[in-house]
Amino acid sequence: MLQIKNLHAQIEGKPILKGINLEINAGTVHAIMGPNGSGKSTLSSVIAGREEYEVTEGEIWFNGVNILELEPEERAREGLFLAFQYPIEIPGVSNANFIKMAVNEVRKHKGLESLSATDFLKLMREKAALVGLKDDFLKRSVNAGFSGGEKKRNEIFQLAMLDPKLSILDETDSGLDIDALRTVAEGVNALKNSENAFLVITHYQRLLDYIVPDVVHVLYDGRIVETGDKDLALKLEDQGYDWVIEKHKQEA
Amino acid sequence: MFQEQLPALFEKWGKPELAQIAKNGSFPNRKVESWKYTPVQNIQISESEKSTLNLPFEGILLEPNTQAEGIQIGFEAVDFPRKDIFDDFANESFQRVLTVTISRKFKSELPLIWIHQPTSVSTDCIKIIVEDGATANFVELYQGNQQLALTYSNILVESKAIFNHYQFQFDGFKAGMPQVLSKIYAQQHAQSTYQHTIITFDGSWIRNELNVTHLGEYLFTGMNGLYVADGNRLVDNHTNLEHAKPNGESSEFYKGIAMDRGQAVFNGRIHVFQDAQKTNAFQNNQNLLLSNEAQINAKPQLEIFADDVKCSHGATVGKLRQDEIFYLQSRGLSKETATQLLTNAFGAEVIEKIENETLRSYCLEAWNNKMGV
Ligand SMILES: Nc1ncnc2c1ncn2[C@@H]1O[C@H](COP(=O)(O)OP(=O)(O)OP(=O)(O)O)[C@@H](O)[C@H]1O
Ligand SMILES: [Mg+2]
Repeated sequence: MLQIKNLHAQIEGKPILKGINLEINAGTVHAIMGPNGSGKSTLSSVIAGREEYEVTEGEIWFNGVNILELEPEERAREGLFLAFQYPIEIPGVSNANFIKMAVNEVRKHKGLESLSATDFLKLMREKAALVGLKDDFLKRSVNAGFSGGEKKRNEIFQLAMLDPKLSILDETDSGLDIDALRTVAEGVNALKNSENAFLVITHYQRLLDYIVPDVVHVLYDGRIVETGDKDLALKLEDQGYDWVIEKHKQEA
Repeated sequence: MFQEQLPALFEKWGKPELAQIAKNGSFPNRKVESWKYTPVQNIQISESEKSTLNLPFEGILLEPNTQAEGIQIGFEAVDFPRKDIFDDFANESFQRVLTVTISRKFKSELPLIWIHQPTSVSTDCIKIIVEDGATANFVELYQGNQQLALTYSNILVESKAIFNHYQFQFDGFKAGMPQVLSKIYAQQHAQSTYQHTIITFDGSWIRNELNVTHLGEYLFTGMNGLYVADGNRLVDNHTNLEHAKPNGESSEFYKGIAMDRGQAVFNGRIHVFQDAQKTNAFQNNQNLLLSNEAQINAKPQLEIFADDVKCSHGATVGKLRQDEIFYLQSRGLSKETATQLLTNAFGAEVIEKIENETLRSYCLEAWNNKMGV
């Protein structure tokens, strides 16, 4: 589904990603862990198409399309979704109105008709319930005045509404209380199927107890330096990153 | 050019004295500071038929024969301050002007409506007295493509009265929006409230002057505005607040958007007199500049002569935030749609402040239509 080949990216002339290789197949869950500042959010931003990051080398293929040439909205319509680490507030734009426009854009791209008002409302209620978001949040402005946890739930709500093929969750667990973490993880598990895939960025094993990864990667200094199964995450939880850093210091 | 056209237009209207003034007088030009960005020669007039009235919401139309409980209609002489030739036109047009006295007996929820429908150049003048303790909503509507409406109002808000004054300068009738020069002179007595709201997103040449003077203490002046200069529109808002008495409170919130080749001007003067102690004056002016060819001239003008006051002001000119656009794009909305949505939200903040629900929905709907949201 997703192939990243030798991806290099920089911001304001400063190289952040230094040769990422990553392949994700449909029906799988990948986790990326790594120390602060190693480039995890940068990688997700580059995949989603944020303009500020300049790709200097490499390719990203998504379902046979070289997406580096696509606008962010075109990537989204192709089925890419990024749940932001820090969802921003957009005062004055209603959540419901915004997500309705988004859903209809994606449907249009798939050659489907816009949802009727009633069907949309039904879908919205169902997905809001899935992530434990009350109906009145839908009427409010996007994330405006939402608590940290509510913002994260709203990201997963949007994910559920758009039903993407590849979802990147950038530290969706941070800021969630224990119950919310379970709700959101169960929500994600309910959306998982053989046609879609998830890339979960996290610092904590806690989330991976619920959303069990097939593959775990360690990103360090702009490179994926370790790849393993779910036991790699347990090892990191236990021993921290020192051994990874020690092992790969030379290359950096 | 407009100036040369005027005498003939006034003759035709049966106002030879105005034709004379137009012929001999001089028009404000760019050398006059307050007209620097508002060229009079850009006004264009063509004659048209009066279109039929079509009220977009229920209200009480103000006319010489209006009848409503608590409303008294008369005609009185009014002198508007004379600063430019337009003031001469207004003052010389009529011996007496439509005078509306609103008493405490006026209990209607319906807004009073004053409609401007110029067929060429017209001066619409009104005097309104809001008596002690009375409350009213007053809406000015504009209709008449390509013509010039000179609208002058003289408003007295007496003690404890509440007057909400709206100017809706957009095409609510789908019949075109005239060019406008509006001048408001409002005076407030103790403990009164004067709330002015102006929404402009149509027309080609618009200049609004709002003057409010405090005659008593413990009163509130609210001034909210949304001005949108798209296409080739010029919108100029000059506000002037005279905090002449102690313990007055005011809040001014104007938002502007300029795109395409639009030109927007905001000049907000707040004058706090030396003995107007304990004044609390707040001014905020935010502008969105969405194209390189558009222009915004924003100028807060605070003149504070009292020392024990709370005055805050802020003026910004900026663009839409990249991270907001990216967020919306990352959900599948095009950059254009994201821009529309965010621009719509920027302007809607002013409209959301309209307390009257009918009027708020009317403006919101028109604004959403305008922005394709
Ligand atoms: N806009 C920017 N300007 C300058 N440097 C940036 C910018 N964005 C990211 N960086 C730098 O790029 C590096 C990688 O940042 P990134 O946010 O991708 O890390 P991360 O792995 O997601 O970290 P965390 O675990 O703290 O979320 C950091 O050193 C950061 O300071
Ligand atoms: Mg990060």
